[in-house]
Order: sequence, then structure tokens, then C-alpha cells
Amino acid sequence: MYLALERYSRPASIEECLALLAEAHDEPTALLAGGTELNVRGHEELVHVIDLQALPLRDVRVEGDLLRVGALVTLARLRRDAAFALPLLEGLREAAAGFAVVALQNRSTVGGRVCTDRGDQDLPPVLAALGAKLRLLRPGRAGAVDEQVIDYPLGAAARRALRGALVAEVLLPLGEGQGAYRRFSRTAVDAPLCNAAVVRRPSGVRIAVNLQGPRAAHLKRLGDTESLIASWHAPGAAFPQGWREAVRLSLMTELEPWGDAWVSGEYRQDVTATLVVRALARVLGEEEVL
Amino acid sequence: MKVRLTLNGEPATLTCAPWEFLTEALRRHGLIGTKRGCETGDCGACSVLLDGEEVASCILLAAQADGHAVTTVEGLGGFERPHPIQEAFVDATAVQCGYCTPGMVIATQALLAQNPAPTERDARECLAGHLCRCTGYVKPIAAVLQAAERCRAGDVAKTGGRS
Ligand SMILES: Cc1cc2nc3c(=O)[nH]c(=O)nc-3n(C[C@H](O)[C@H](O)[C@H](O)COP(=O)(O)OP(=O)(O)OC[C@H]3O[C@@H](n4cnc5c(N)ncnc54)[C@H](O)[C@@H]3O)c2cc1C
Ligand code: FES
Ligand code: FES
Repeated sequence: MYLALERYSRPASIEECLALLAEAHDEPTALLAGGTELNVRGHEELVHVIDLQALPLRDVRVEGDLLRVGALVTLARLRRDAAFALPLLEGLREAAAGFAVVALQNRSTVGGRVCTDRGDQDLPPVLAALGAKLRLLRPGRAGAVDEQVIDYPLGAAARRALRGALVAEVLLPLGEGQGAYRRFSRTAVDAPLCNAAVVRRPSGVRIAVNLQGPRAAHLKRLGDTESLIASWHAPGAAFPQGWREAVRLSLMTELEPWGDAWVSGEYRQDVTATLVVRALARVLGEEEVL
Repeated sequence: MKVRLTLNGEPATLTCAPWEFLTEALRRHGLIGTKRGCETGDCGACSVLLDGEEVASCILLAAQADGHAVTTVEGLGGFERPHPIQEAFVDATAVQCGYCTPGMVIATQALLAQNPAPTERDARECLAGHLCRCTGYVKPIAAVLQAAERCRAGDVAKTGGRS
């Protein structure tokens, strides 16, 4: 809660926003998008928020082989906008639909989601499996705007790169393919305890999972299992009989049993392996039973 | 600071501190149908429509609503002229203490404006973020479906209620 907030600004342009950000050295300041994170979890230290709502960051457009998604696009739009109605982006739509409840989906933005470092996350594994990138803007010299494109997910270095920057867009490589997302939570409206995203392109399969708890999360690409799958088949060919057991075995080695107050590590590991197998079955067009 | 908005169809100005959330600003303005519950976006008691979309007013700064249209449960109907959604909640006995009801009515209005013929699954999704400690959920879900029928008959939901 903003107990000490003294200043609310709503810049009308990116330049104005970056200028406000550049001035913010002495004053604890944050960018405000939907507010579903910032307005909730004790931000008593903040004195100034810069509301992004008037900035032109709501476009969704195809440019070459990229889908450029403005940072202020809400999760509700990911669910219903025709631009996301591609088989490749099925996981993105599923993650947006699985995310909390309608009132939250209407406010939460893609930019806010990628900047939030919180345990219960629906979108990150999908973005990682899709090979998303982030376009960042930051104040440059003499009023100039510095631009940078970084890979998602956020490693420690990339997180440093985000500091003091405005996320302007999330860039999604398009093309043929099928995506899927599966999540597990205590009830339908709870945040996930674990989840899995799979994207199958002609070039191969990418798998990302989020092992998560109330305070932390491990976003992980499952490289070993991806390599196992790549070893089986020429791109686009059918998986061998018994692929589910082989994938499951690989996953049980690759996924660490990460437990917390909510569930044991073994339980989370086991359920996550199931979610990956189901998501894989979906992208292969097979039945999802184990 | 001054927050200028369209409130229940009328232009309004709310005087607020920069840290103040919309729930409080509305209640101070006399619109006490918007309830204070968890104040963390979890329970749905404080739901209002922002430009026609359901939002949790407890996690929206009043300042964020500047320049927008906000509809509270009072904007849909009241004792003298209840909205068909409100009538459906009463007739389906979906109301006991009523604390959760304004939020559910607002969520139903948002749903029916987009989807006049919801399925039971749609109704469940619509109420999913709304916690009720007395009635349970079976009757509120029946109320949403009943409200949809009444609104289709009277074509009310599209216009956003009586205003
Ligand atoms: C009740 C509840 C349930 C939730 N359930 C889920 C769930 O099921 N799944 C899930 O994944 N999440 C969930 N969340 C978390 C929350 O909705 C997300 O963290 C949200 O996506 C944040 O987006 P926002 O637009 O609201 O960001 P904000 O709250 O406005 O900002 C979040 C952070 O990102 C920064 N920021 C925002 N936009 C930008 C930008 N463009 N550039 C740079 N920095 C920026 C802000 O400064 C802030 O630090 C839940 C939250 C609540 C309150
Ligand atoms: S009081 Fe706002 S969601 Fe509970
Ligand atoms: S009727 Fe009492 S909380 Fe729902």
C-alpha cells in the first residue's frame, strides 16, 4: 500500500516518461502499469509513481516474423485479441485465461508481468518457450532515448538491465508451430503451484516450467529433455511409441524437487512432469492422459 | 489532487490524496455499495466497472481513474428501480448478508454486456473472484443465468442499466 505516496504523474509521451524517470534519483519512484502488483504488496517506500496509461504502448502488430506486443496490452486482450489466435500462441492465451480472475486480467499488463519478480507466475514459462525478447527504453544523453533489446527470461544480468528502464514491447517470434500451457493450482482462481509451457516449431521443441511457491520461483528451460526429444526425430516427424515414459524419466532427473510450505518437492516435481507430458501431448495432437 | 471522471453516467470530481485507492474515494463520495474486503484484489467485494470492464477498486489508485467512466452498483439500480440483475439476485435467494452482492452484480453486468447468453461455465468464471461467506455459490450462479434471461428479454445489460 502506498502509505507515503506524495506524487502521481501521468506522462503523455515516452520522452516525458523517461525524463521523469531520469529525475527520480532522490525520490523512490516506480512505473505504474495495471497496478495489480505495485498497488498491492507493501510499497511504503515509494514517494512517486509514474502512471504509464497515457503512453502509446497498447499496439499489437506483426512486423516481419515478429509479433510486437505493447507493454500495456492487458492479459484480457491476450485472451481475446485476434492477433493471438494462432496455434503457436495457444499457450499464451491459456496462460492469460488461467491467470487469477477477470477483474485482474482486465488490469494486469504484459509489461507489468515481465517486470514482476514474484512466485506465482503464469506468463513467464510461455514467454520463455516462445523465445520472447523485450524492447527496453531508457533516458539517454541530452534528452535522447536509448533502446535495447534483451532476451527473456530475465537472468541476473538482464534484471540489472531492466533497472531504470521502461519495457516498451514484448517481441514474439512468429512462424508455424503449436503451443500449449498447463498449470496446477489449489483452486481455479489460485496462483499456480507449478506450470509448464511447450512450443513445437518445425525447428524443434522448447519446454519451460516454473516451479513456484509463495515467495520464490524457479523459471527453467528444460534443455536436457529438449535434447532428448531432438535426438528422436527429424523436425516435424512423429514421436516414437513410449515417448511419454521416456520424457517423464528425463524430467524426473532434470526437475529439482523444490518444496516449500505449500507442497513437498517430490509432489511438485511429479505434478510438473505430468503437466509437461500433457502439454507435449497437446502440441502433438494426442490425447492428454498419462 | 482532483480526479475528474464520469461517475455513474454523470461528470464528477473527487478530491483525493495521491495514495488513495478508488474504493475509499467512492465511499467518501457516498457510494457505499462498493465494499471494503480484503483490499488485496482477492475477494471481489470492491468491484466496479472502469470503462465497462470489471476492476478491483481496492487496488486501483483513485488517480488512475481520472478521465475514465466508473460505474458502481448504485449506477445500475437502487431500491426504487432495481436493475434486473439485482432483482435476479434477490429472486434466486442469492443474497444473505449481502456484503459480496454488489461486487457480484457488477461482475454480472460486465459479463452480460459482452456475452448476453452465458453458459454455466461462463457464470462460474464471472463469479470466480468473488468470495461469499454466507450464501455459497450455487444460488449466485443461478442468479447470473436468471439475470441473463431477464436482460435478454428487456435488453438492459447493453445499455449499462438504468442510466
Ligand atoms: C489477487 C491477485 C492475484 C494474482 N494472481 C496471479 C496469477 O494467478 N498469476 C500471475 O501470473 N500473477 C498473478 N498476480 C500478480 C500480478 O497480477 C502480476 O504481477 C501483474 O501481471 C503485474 O502487472 P501490472 O500491469 O499490474 O503491473 P504493476 O503492478 O503496475 O507493476 C508491476 C511492476 O512492474 C513494473 N512495471 C510495470 N510496467 C512496466 C513497464 N512497462 N516497464 C518497466 N517496468 C514496469 C512496476 O514498476 C512494478 O515494479 C496476482 C495479483 C493479485 C493482486
Ligand atoms: S476488497 Fe478489493 S478485491 Fe477484496
Ligand atoms: S451473502 Fe454474505 S458474503 Fe455473500
